Amino acid sequence: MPPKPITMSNFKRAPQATPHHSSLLSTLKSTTMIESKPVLPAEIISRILDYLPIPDLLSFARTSKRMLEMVYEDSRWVQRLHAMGLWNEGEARKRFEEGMKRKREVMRKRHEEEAKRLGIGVQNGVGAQRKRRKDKGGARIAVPDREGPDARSRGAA
Amino acid sequence: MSEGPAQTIVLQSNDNVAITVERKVAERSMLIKNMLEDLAGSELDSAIPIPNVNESVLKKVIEWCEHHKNDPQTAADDDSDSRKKTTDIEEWDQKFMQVDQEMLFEIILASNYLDIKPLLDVGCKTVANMIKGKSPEEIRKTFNITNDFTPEEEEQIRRENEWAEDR
Repeated sequence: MPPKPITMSNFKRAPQATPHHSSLLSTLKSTTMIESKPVLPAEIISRILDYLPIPDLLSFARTSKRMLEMVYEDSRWVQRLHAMGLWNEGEARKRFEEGMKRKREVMRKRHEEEAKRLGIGVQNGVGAQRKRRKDKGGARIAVPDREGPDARSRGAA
Repeated sequence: MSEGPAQTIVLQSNDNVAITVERKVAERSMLIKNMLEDLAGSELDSAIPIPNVNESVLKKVIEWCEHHKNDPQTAADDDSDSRKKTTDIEEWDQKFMQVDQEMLFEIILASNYLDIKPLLDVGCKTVANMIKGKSPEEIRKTFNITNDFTPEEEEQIRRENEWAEDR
């Protein structure tokens, strides 16, 4: 009897009908055969889901994350509603645009606030510089800590 | 009479079995049909390899094509239409699909590869019918799906979908 390839031992479902050859090629072949328990690709699962009534569709969604993702896909529901004659493209577009507008508004506000904060920061920077420049020749005014050492050294001079 | 295309062709499964089929039967596969059309004129004297399909599945698929060889070709697949519809399956097809799940999936994959849409539809409907009325846990068992939700997530999704629950 030819030596049994080690890899086979992991696969209990190995179809034993095929004669064992010890060549690498046949090992590979038999290995793929065992592993290729047919798995349906997403495209086909999606097709199957098209045939499910909604309660079953949602039961299916609850089986795993991947299935949930497939079931929850927006386009699937648009298509469903379409089929039920409940989809109103105009309404959908309007709501979508409203949503986008709201989003943009929020974004704009956030930007403004951000800009304001940054803007103040920049102005501060400029102001401080100007102040410092002014300081150069004249009397020292109490200024933020950062200038402390500088001031001290100047005072010492 | 030797005019016109050969009336039979030979298909070769991925386990190297040659199967002779009536051309008309084989042409239920759009893949083969298109291929034969591309080859029009030139003599086809060798078997057409079907590298993704083994003998038992190929025979099963041919059996279906045989039975349905005179069906009107639903050209320009009216996808949108046939999809939303029922899962009704004609009697012969129902019997045809009474195979173990592995073979069912193989038939679906083969019909997808060979582009035999009506057969693919029957296969998908059959699977859909297997899902109908089952709980998530039963579906997992049937299709070997691993539950990767935490109990909390599971509960949340359940609540999210309560509205659609059968009652």
